[in-house]
Amino acid sequence: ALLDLGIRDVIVNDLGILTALSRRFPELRLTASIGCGAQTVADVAFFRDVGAHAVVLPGTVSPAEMREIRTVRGISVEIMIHMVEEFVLLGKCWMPSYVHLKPSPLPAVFPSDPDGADSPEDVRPGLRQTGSMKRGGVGACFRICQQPWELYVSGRRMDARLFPSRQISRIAEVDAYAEAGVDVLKLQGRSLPVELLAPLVRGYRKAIDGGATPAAAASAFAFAELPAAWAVVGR
Amino acid sequence: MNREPEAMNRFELNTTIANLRDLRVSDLRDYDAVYLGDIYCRIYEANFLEQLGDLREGIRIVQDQGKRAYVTTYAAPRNDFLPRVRKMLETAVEAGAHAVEIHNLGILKIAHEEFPQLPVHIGGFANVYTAAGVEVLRDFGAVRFTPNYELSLEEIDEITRGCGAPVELLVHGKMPLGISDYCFLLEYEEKWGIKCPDLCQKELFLKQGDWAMKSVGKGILSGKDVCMLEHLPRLLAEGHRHFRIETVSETPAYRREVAAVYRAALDRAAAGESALEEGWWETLARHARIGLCNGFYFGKSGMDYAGIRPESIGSLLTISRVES
Repeated sequence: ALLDLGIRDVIVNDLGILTALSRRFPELRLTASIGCGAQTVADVAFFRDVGAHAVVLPGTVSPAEMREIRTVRGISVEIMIHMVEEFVLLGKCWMPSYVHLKPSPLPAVFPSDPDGADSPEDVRPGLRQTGSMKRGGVGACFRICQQPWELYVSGRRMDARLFPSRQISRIAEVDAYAEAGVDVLKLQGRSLPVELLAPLVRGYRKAIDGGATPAAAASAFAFAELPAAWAVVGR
Repeated sequence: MNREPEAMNRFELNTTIANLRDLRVSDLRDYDAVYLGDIYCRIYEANFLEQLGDLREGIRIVQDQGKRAYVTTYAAPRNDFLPRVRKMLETAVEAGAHAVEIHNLGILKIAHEEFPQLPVHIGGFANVYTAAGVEVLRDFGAVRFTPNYELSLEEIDEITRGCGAPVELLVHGKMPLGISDYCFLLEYEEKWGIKCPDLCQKELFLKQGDWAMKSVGKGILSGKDVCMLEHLPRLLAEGHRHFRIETVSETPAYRREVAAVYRAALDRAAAGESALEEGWWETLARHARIGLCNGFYFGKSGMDYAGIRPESIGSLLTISRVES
């Protein structure tokens, strides 16, 4: 149906689905989502091998790492250069479903057929589980990592805190990423209102086109940033 | 499952040990196999994955006891991990490791292309959610699969029914819930006067309201211990034969005593008996600091317990919630 509508580009979050689509619909251009968890040169080569045309990497990957990654030919590389980095890596978090997981009704295969009477026999509506964002798009993140915690050490309450998270805004490194061979710069804009998203895009556009110094461009959307709650202390 | 089931009494009970010190003080009599290494952190104390002389010695110790020695690998590597991963795999092959556990797809590609003689077990962080995913990973040499921890037994059965893939299930211990690139415990080095790598050796729980999780620095685990003791007959009847007791962050006493319970219970279940000893519960409850849960196996939230033991609570923090 997507091909009939003229859609050729699909972003996918599951390795199995990605490979199945690649084999069945070779005309699709498939992107391995950031939720696929690629971070290394070997990960990118793997996704190329299984049929991805592009892969999205998190903005935690540096230009130096990217130079090595771009030695992999035959796949485009996108980087989420402006994003919120939560404590747990994208695609590697099941904390929400540890706390809360409820079955919810499956949507009808065809909206005009809510009871599923005309659906193929093996896809009758039923119940599906919620869970993490990896569960085929039915997941839900209710940001439990952003709730305050009490930290107990050997049974003693030692602190109350949040999991660390930070805003990654690597506008100052746009040129470095371009020189490293990145094909696409990606901004995490899904949760931003238009009034914040527009200046954010304008700022990066100027930085890419060389029409503004990185500092000037950064100031244009400073209000779209979250306060840095922590310092990177190594890995 | 559709595949021809192996005899009920031919099962594997395995666990994880991160370093040589822990291995030397661990009584492995009730285990059939051991995964060597810590998947979360390169600077975990004397991690087998970095100390390759220790790894060689660890493989020897495990095999001298008649057990299978597996090595594990990092769950979230970066480029600069990969040269060491290659050396570790080379060492594992030379030392005769029986298999490698892989959570990361790039490492899977390296293992498949450069160390094809090493059978691959797919770990829980590899995100096996679908039968299609299993098929892809098989093409890269995988012979055993730990499905994502979020999947229910019903969903796991759906995946395995068509392809007959051997599955490994966590039957007891703290279930991985996430992994980070960073260790927030390092922020406490000065404040607590405890340096890395001793920090994550402490018993660290993060608590909010009526639920809790365990921190191992870069890794987040369930606060409660997954416990499938009551359900072993079902697991065997459904064709499962590979069972893990996760003890990477536990004491040698936990490793030994919990394994003794499960070995006895599995032997009994394989013989067609389902009675459980009261003493077994006492052992499990004593070691479960927050309490017991079933993980996601019954389609409920990971911290719920669906069984006849709703009173199973831990010794550290009283958690009253039983089912959502």
